[in-house]
Amino acid sequence: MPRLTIDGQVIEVPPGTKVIDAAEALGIVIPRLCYHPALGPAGACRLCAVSFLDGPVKGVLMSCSIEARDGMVVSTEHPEAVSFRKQVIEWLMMNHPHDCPVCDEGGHCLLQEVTVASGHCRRRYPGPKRTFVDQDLGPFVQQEMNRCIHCWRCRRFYQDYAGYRDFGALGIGWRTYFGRATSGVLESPFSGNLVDICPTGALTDKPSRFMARRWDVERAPSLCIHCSLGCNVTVSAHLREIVQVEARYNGDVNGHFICDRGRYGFDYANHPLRPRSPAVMGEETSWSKAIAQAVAGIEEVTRAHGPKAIGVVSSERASLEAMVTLSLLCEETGWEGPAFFQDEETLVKNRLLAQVALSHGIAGLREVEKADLILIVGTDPICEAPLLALAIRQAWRRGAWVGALDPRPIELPLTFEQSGLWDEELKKALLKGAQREEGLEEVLPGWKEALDRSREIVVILGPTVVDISSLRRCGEFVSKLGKKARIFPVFRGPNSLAASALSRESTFRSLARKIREGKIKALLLVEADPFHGTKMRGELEASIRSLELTIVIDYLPSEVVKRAHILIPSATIYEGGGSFINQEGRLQRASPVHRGGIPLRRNLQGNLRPPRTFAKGPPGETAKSSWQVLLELGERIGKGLGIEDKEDIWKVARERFPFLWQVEPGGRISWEGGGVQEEAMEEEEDPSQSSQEMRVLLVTSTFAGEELSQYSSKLDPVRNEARAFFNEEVASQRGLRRGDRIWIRMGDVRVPFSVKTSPKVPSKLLILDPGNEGLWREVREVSKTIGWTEIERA
Amino acid sequence: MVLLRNRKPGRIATLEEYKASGGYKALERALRELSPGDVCAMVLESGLQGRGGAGFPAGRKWMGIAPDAPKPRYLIANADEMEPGTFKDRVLLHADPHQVLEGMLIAGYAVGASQGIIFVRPAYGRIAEILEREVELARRANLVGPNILSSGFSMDIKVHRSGGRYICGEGTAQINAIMGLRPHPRETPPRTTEKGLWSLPTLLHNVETLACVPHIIANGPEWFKGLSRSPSGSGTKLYCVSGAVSRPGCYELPMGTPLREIIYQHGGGLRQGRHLKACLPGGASTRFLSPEELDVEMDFEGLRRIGNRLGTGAVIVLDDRTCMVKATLNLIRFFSRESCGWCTPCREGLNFARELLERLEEGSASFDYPEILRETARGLCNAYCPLAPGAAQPLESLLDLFAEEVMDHIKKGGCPMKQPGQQRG
Repeated sequence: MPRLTIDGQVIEVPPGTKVIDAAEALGIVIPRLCYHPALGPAGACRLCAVSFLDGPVKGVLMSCSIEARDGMVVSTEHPEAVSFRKQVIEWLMMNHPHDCPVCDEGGHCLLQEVTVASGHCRRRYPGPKRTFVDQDLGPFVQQEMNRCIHCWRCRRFYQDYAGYRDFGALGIGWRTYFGRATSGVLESPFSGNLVDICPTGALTDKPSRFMARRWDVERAPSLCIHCSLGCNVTVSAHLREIVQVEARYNGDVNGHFICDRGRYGFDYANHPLRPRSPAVMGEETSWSKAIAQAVAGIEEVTRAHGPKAIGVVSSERASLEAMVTLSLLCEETGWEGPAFFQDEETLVKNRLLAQVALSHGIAGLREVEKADLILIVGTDPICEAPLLALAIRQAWRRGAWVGALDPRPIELPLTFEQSGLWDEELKKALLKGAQREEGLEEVLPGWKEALDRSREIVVILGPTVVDISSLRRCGEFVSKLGKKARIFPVFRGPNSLAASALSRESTFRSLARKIREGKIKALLLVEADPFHGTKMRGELEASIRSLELTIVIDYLPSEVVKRAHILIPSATIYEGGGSFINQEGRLQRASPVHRGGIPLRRNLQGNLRPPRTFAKGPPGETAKSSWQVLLELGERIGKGLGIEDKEDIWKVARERFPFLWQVEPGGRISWEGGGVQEEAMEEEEDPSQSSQEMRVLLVTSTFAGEELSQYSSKLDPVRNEARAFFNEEVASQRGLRRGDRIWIRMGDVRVPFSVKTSPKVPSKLLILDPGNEGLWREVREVSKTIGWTEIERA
Repeated sequence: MVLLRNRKPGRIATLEEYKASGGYKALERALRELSPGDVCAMVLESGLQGRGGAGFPAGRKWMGIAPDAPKPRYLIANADEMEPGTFKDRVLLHADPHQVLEGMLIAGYAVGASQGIIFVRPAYGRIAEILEREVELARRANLVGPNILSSGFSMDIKVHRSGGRYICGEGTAQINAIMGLRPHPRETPPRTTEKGLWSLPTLLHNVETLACVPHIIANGPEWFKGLSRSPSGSGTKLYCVSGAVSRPGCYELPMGTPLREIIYQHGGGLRQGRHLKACLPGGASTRFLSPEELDVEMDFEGLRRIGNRLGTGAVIVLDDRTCMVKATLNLIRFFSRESCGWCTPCREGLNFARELLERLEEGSASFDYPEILRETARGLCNAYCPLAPGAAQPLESLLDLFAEEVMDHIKKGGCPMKQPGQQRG
């Protein structure tokens, strides 16, 4: 271990540590602009110059590029180094416009910070400032090239770290330009990180442009709940509106980055139609009246039909607090539920996935980055958990081999093998893999060699396209790989693992059955919208309509909210905070960011401001966290849980659900899965075996399909159209080519799709991604198979 | 004359002519009689130093590729000649291209390279055509390609046309350029002999260095050493003389020939009625030499002794009617334009210096300019690659040697050389 002296302090650091990091370990922060822990040293800005007084190297050198070695004597305050650093600042400020008052970076600008620190205040450069013509980089990133100081972070992130090529450096010398060949939307779903990573205002956040000064926003550490990864974010709110989400460093989870869905999906909280006040039969009412009505309704149904006539539904996006309160409440009252999942199959798959992963050693993003062999089974990382794709890329950059078994034409920013297997073929392949080491070589050339030299294997497994027996098969397959293999489960929602652990037998489908049978008369829906992603809309509508009482507690202007008899608005994660358990079982907590309320419109016209009435709080801020509402309901129907605040929930939960709560936030839970019935679900016969029809697989994409971000207007410009993926050969036999427009008839609705073809799609499969297609919401039932008679050219 | 012995007006030496002058004998000897280690040892012993500017001992570079280093290995001949005042590679390749090819093959044999690449400056399009044609002829003669001269050694040679930037002449940047990346230099270690092209061992040499190799193998290291006039040098050197001399041109002279002799005897001295004011001894990235230093021996060691560098051996002669500020400005404009943009000193600092020099020349400078220029020059030396430190050389020596002339520019509000009545030459 090298021992070196920095500013008179001796420190011992692991071999390979850069001097800049060694200094930081001592609390000495050497100024830097181009150096970024995730991107490594570049040696471009020259701002981290320090004096090496003695040892293996001498002179003024860059602390980011030099590895700490024994006997080094480093001075960060040596006059020579200080004066050179000042010179670098002077050089950078030669061309930097002094437009800080109108720059969104102002107040958290690294350049501003180092410039002030250097004491640079007098301009000696006599020439004109360099100017560039800016480009339109799409809806997320605002370019202002004149402010650029050429630290190369953007290009290093975009091309090297993230693996996209449409943004980079053009030109040379002092005219070097960071942009695209021409204006256009950035192709990478990680483009928002450019905003975080730019040390000055050259690349700023477009959606929040001119919305708030940095020192005026309310900020708090929060979590991204747009997939199951649980990336850490910092959220900024201003004038009752969420204005910006930034990545928050967490070395155990997301590292420094997040995806654009997580960054720009927040706008559901500002949605103009968001339920802001309680309503009974569509009429706005007071908080107390709504609660009183709900209590009266519940009591009436209970009196007439017993507690089992009340069904309780929640979802994978509810906070752990809500889930726990709801579970306890159901136990206390005898209500039916809570159901967290859509149907039995989803529930079993989620539990099985959790169990398989937890029993084989569960992997998180860090394990993926360290792996040297990554097998993706039934997951499309970019669509289902975007940041996972970045982690896979980091492993690939270090030499990892990546293979995928999935019927979808997966796109990743790296080179990998893919075999478009599904269903029986996938099962067979996994069986072969479980039987013989080289079993996958047939479908994934290169597998055997990669397996032979691998030390750490991660199998990425998702429950969406893989069926129950394949999931189980995958568990056997991973056991065969031995101790060096781990499973990285990808769930659908931010709290799916907790939902799996807290679930009983109830699912929404089972409750719906009971509604049809007349056993359930009332439904309490807590942050759940059964209409989201449903294939059985017609049936669902009929069920909901037949209920005597529908109570909805939610913050989304969802479809079920519109059908609620009693609506009680709840707080989003930004107002209420909450705990979530991510895909690797890590318990994390989000702090409330602001009080909430109807956002102020700031268009200088004044007429859109909320009415000037005298009230105790801002308009629209009455929402409480759903668990608070539930506690109040419980109290009022005489089933109080003895819980006053969050601390109480945690105390109770620790006793009742020790597997979830024995860890401190940030740690991984100790649940080992369990509760999965040994007998496999009854497997449905493959209907396409005997017919000319294609089986339908419904999928979602990065910016369309995830429930919360669906309501974010910030993502509207990048949502994809509806796409239908065909096997290339099958499509060409039918005269269909990539880009053709078709109609697919489903019941009495014709939905337009754009044709995509790939040789990877199995020939008897039709993959449908409804994208942002509005007509899709009219489809009453999505058929399991589709024949060519239902497809016509548009 | 060694390197230019086959030089003919208007055309290259053909393969036959080259062979007739003893060409490809050295290759044959190396392949038949010598082990790769022997060849390396001979080159090391000959004291051959890289002719591209840095003067690193070629043999030591070759030894940097260990016998057990990974394969395939690459050999790159750098013909991206863009240093101002330098045109020796053009002359050399126009005179005797096979000499360079033979040098490449021997070097390739010595380090176990299987692929040779000649990286040619785009302005030298004609040379690229010639090289492609001659490589093809050599291939037909079993001198390039598989199983050369039935020896079992195989090496192919490709001609790569550069996109055309000064920085592409820098070894690591050149390798990036060949890989299709932006031609940014990269910090060493690892040296290119360990991790070069496609992260594999790569030997990169200036074409003049490679042209010396066949002669070392054919005539022995002692002979090669003996060619030099100075004890610290070895071989001959192609000196490019340009500027205010009567007979500008490329002269092959023994290494260590005194500068005075190069300018006055070979270059024909200054033009009628002019006097030597200063000269750059080795291209644009060296310090100005004053007339008092003319007796310096033009080899790497000789110039190092007086705090200068031999560089590419391109002597640019400036006479007494030259404005030194303008001459420096001309150089700094070039460097500022050619900066790759990677690091701050080079990208911004050179531009800063250019703005100041421009104002000095126009007459809108203030008295603190020389100090700012000096600070800037000092700061340039902390750049990422040698481009900016090279650019700092003429700038610093302007301030050292011609401080009065610089002050004159400030006091007189412009270039004194441009005063009425005086004509520019």
